[in-house]
Amino acid sequence: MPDMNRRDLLRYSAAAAVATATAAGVANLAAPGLAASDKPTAKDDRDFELDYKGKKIKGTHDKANKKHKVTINGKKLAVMELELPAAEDSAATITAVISALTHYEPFQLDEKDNRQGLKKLAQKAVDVLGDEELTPLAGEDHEHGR
Amino acid sequence: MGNRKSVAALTTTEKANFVAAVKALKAQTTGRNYDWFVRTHMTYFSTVSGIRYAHQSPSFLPWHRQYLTEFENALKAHNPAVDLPYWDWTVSRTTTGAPFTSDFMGGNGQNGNGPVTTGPFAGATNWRINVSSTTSTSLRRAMGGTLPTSTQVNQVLGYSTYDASPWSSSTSSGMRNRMEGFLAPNIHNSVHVWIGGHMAQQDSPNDPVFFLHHANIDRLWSRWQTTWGFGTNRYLPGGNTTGVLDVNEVMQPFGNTVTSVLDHRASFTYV
Repeated sequence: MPDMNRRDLLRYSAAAAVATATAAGVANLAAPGLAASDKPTAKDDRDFELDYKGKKIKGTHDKANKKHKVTINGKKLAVMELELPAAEDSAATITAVISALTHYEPFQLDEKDNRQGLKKLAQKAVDVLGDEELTPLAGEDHEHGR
Repeated sequence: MGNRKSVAALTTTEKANFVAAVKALKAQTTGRNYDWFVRTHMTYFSTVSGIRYAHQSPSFLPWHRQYLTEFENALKAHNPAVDLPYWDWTVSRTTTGAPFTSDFMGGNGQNGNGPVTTGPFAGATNWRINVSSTTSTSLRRAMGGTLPTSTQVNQVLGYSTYDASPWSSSTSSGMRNRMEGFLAPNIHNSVHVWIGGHMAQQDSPNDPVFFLHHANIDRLWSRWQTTWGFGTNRYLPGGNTTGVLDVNEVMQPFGNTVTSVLDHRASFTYV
């Protein structure tokens, strides 16, 4: 499928999903004024926005594209999804996330027991940051190629 | 031929020479200086042109072997007497012993998570962080947690198969992913996390301890090779894969093959 069509399709799906959520009385978490590219494709009830150790952390999940977003005090922290072995000698995998600041420490992420994985990653990143802030380098996407 | 020694066995002069060469490389304004090594490691953490060269892939060990050799040669350009030492964290396990002494790497970060306050790399005047994910211009550490044990290391070195499909972080058998750390008992990754601060980040080579840690990882691979063989048939995959390096393929940005670094014994040994 050409890129343009695929993007249009995603945008249409997202709009439909938001409309459904709003109709069902669920608040749309996407803040007004955000660029279209910053909006999640669909609301995910694991998304979060809170203060942690004096810093504002915000996370949106994008399960379909495996591209989750985290910001700390409004600055982007690149997050990468990767697959880990579920057990020794097993073909089954589990999903985890690492980031530019928590690069050697995968946090498991799913929709059951590890639904808070992205939030835990963001909190650990704040722990690593201490009294510092993220630089633009922390937000540069890089693909790990699963 | 170089002899790579344990950090615990270095003389006062050897420590001083190493620190001086590292600082000279940092101050170098042309060619591949210290920050080139930081930037290159960060670039090659991800896929480059669709290939995983340095991490989450079979070439994790050969890529870092060549990276260390390039670093060691860059230090030798400032002082030919300098060899890269290794930090055996199964033996030196405290935050105040070797290599974290004030005449070498310095100690923990302030209050256990902050700028390093002792030694030659403490503070931005002594050692300025230029390429980083955070605004800190001083080297930071947050030591704590669990270091791998010699029992765990020996367990990993006992796996005779180098690596296995799908040649990634999800590989569930063989030696490489256990050594890298996405499969238990997690050797390499856990040491980055134990030091914390810059070592936990994508710009981990900002901490010179990075090179001592990776020299030890390379030493362990060399031990594995001593047991199971240095030959090209011991590295996997042998061929016909995409996205990762087969034994005869070229490692970027260095330009030499995996095969060329397998038997290192004519260039350097671990003592």
